[in-house]
Amino acid sequence: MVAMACSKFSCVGATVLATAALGLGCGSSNAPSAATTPSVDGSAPDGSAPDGSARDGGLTPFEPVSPYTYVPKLKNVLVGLPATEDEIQAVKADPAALKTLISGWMELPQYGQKLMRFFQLAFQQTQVSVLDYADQSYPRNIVFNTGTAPLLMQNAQESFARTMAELLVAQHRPLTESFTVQQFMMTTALKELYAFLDVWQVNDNGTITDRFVQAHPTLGAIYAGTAQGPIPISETLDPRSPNYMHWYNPDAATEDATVPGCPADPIRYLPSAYTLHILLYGSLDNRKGVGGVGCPQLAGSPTATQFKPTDFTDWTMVTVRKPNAGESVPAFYDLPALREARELALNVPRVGFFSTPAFFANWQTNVSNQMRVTLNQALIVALGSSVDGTDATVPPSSPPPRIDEAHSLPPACYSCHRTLDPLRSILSANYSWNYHNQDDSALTGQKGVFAFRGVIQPVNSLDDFGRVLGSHPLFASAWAQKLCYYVNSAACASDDPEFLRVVDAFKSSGYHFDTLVTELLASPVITRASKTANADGEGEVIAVSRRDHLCAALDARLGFADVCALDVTSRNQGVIPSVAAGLPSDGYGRGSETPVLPNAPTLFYRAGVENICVAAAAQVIDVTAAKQVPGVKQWSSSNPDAAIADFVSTLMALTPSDPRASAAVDLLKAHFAQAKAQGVTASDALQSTFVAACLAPSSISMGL
Amino acid sequence: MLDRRQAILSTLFGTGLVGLRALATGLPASLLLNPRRVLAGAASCAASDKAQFIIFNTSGAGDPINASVPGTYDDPNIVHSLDPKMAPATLSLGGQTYTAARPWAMLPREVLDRMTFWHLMTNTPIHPKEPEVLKLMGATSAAEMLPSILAKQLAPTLGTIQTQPITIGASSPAEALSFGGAALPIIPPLALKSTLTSAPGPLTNLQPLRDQTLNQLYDVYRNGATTKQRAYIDALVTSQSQVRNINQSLLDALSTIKDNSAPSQVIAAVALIQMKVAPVVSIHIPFGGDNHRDVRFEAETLQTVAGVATIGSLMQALKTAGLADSVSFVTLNVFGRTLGPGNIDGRSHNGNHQVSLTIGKPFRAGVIGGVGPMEGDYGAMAIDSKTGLAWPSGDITPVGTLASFGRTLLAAFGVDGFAIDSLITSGQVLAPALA
Repeated sequence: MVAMACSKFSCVGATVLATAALGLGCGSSNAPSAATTPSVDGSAPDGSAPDGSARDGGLTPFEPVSPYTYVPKLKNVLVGLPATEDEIQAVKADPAALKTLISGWMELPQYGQKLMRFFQLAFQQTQVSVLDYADQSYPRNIVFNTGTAPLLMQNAQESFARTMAELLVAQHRPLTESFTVQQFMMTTALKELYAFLDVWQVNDNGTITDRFVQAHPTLGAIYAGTAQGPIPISETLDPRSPNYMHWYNPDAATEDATVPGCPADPIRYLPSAYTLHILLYGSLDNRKGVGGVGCPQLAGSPTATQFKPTDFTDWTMVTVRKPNAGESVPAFYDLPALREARELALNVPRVGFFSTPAFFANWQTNVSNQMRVTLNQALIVALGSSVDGTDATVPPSSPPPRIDEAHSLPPACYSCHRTLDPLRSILSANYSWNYHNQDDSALTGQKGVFAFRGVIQPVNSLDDFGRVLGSHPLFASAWAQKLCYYVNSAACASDDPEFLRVVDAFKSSGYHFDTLVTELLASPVITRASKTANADGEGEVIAVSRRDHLCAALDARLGFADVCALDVTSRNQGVIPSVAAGLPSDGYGRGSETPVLPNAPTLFYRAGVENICVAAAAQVIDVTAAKQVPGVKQWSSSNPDAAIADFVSTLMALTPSDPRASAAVDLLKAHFAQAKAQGVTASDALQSTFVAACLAPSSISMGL
Repeated sequence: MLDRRQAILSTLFGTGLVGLRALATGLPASLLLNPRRVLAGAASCAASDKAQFIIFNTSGAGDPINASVPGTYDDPNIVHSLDPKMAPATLSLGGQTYTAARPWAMLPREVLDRMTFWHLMTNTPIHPKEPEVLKLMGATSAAEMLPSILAKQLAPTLGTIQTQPITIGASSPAEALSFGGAALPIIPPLALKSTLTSAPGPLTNLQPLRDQTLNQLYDVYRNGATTKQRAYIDALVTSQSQVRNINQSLLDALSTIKDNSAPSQVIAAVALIQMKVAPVVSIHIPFGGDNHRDVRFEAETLQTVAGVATIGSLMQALKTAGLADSVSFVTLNVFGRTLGPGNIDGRSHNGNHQVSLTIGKPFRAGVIGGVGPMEGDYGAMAIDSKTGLAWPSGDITPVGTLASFGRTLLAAFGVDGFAIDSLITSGQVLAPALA
């Protein structure tokens, strides 16, 4: 420990000025040389922030970024691959070629994978766990079988992103449809989830109405048994069959075997949609045994599910609509029918990104909040703006409709609530606090008013709400900014004429997402190839390659399928997934209009990435034929020069003409030779060389 | 002293020609542009006899800590959990007898002797204001978060590997910390060991050679780089150096971590402090969460019992590690919960009342401030700065309690008054809270 104590007197004066000039504070014994050490507050010696962003309000003059930097960066962001020499030369010869290159990269299969993640984040469909769905399946967890729960969670988080990938990319529909769409990519499991949530009605008071039970008044019981053996589902679903509502479950015979009064085969349950729902996912509900003894629930073995493995992967577009008069909603337990279904008639309205179970799981509301968080997050997603008390748009009546009286008196509260409360009525007229049908006539009768950031419009339905969002003047620039954050880890200057040109191009295209991507990424507001009007103010940001970008790059460049096991259903274990869980990631926070983007190369990032690189090296260098994974690149220490050349071009993304490339090759060759000279095997030496390349600035950073 | 400082400022830092003066003096332009800030940062390292590592507990959910603590049992209209595990119990703090929920009274005497309860007003009932509360609702200079202010002041004295705080307990990005305006990552306990451990073997043995190669590569990248790119490469150099300062022999302590729960966070936090990785480690111990609907306060009861037990475990772990005198525990949540008679099966947000805890050598055990009726429920009362007691006409207003809490922490950890003034622009140091 450094025992240096600065008295308040000795620290003020010439000595401290000199210390400050070096960027060092008190007690810097652990600091490396002053020439390369950020100051005590983490800022770099030049006064810039740790992430390289400008702090000095423009003291650093604009410096154009080289094509050797921005071309690989853009390709990395879009598809995770390194740029080729031809691509660099094309842009050097004609900067306008960049747009063509971007369009080409968008045709690669990796683009869809990267875009999926962008959409998951942008539409706030991720950052949730099983527990977050408990409001919708109140008062119990929505699923808890360890085999099926991760699969359903993955499905729920991917659904809307897949919907957008299909509609916007494959079908070239406008981005505005994300607010009004009533089609969703679903698996059979998701169809079951939507159908179950439609019959498990929870109102504002937490009162549950089991519409499944209501619809089956004569159903005496649901049975789960082992001894009888597998039962054809056609019999299970046939009211005329003696096996009606008898479900095979391999755990039934042993469930609660040690609890006196509980053993039973089959287990008899009173009819309940929830009991049946979790039975489908392989779990057994709690119940009363002999003499009223409590028999606890069982999460169940992974094989106990009624779903087939393909029921979690059979993605298809499903249209959701209101049931016609007299029409029943689909039976959530009729899996054969759900597998074929392309349309679901549901009572709970499902319109746009803001109505998915995943969005609702993200933003749980309650009797106090009354849908304000949900509405505010919907505004943030759609328009990049939130209710913060600064909006001068005045709702058309005074007091505004549905304003919460408790919040109408304190001025500090009123400034937000006068806007937020009429807005939130749009949702509270449709949904209960648990995101089921709203059955309070006082709330269903008050449809809400959209009065936000200059737009005032009555809203009678969720469709109306979606349309207002899509026509709002903030919409286009908000989505351009989301891409700015995704690519540059920082906002674009919203008043920069070049940014406004991109926004106009997006509008003119009819809000086609492809146009936004190509126009923005080829623009100097992103590339910084040339100075735009407000380039100084925003500054150039160099960021670490955060988890999604880094893992995607490793997959794309080395041929891994999912090396970081980011897919929650992945069975890949080991060092890399474990470290990846702690890497900085793109995220969003409640009420925040901007994403949370840790950009700085902290010691944890450096240490973690080194361990990832070490683990990856063992999988790509001198791997015996029996252990090689198809598709994964392999290098041999018997041919180190070729391997090193690949490291530089593939991992480090330096093309041969890049001024840094030849020096990098020489340094890596020297490292290989010096490592061998230390007595390690050629294999270890090449693995160490791989790690060095893997840790090079351009391998682990965005913007170098 | 002040005159001399003013003289330096006026002599060196007049207006205009900043760039030229930077060149002429060799001083960074940032210093010339904002000398007060730079001076404050450089001058205010904490005194070595008072500096402490800090385990900082924060929740954006607004947990009901304030519903079970001393000071809330005097008014019979305040609603508490009726569960026997939360039954009122007496405890002695600093020679005074108080009533609190039973779990608090069960803490060891040595913990209670350093435990202070602070009745504060965060002045917001809104979850997304968690970052603003950590910035003391506008009272910190340069919009720095309190944990980061503490980290900056303490790191040089403590000699930690990095200056920035570490967040290991945030339940979402909304609870992540920022440092100098830059978002900090969340590193869950489960990821810590695999992140920091260098597995024994040839590749680890080759680290020095690899670092040398990387340093040469960094130089290659510096050639032709923009200013911002060079600054970023410099940061890479620093982080590489920091990694090599990690004491690998202490990482075994992380082996017992099996999840990211609060007890696991405690294990990780103690290990990180033993390794002197950072001066401040942020965790999240649940105390009931956002319990709007909490029938019979079951969640509040369950989590308060577990939460207090986790604090007890933390204190025991610090004692075992020989860190009891050098680590303090501090809590600050976005807000507390409503307390009045209407709260039967849950509690709403209470922007007027939040209770913080401090446990550590620099603190005098007791209760600072108090709670009284406010806006239909209950809120933090004004505080008399001389006694630390709640007093209707106290010189620290309810709104001023939050900044005063921050200033008192800085004072407790050895930051001098001059620096405190520049770092937190309002509030007062509450001397009665200091040991």
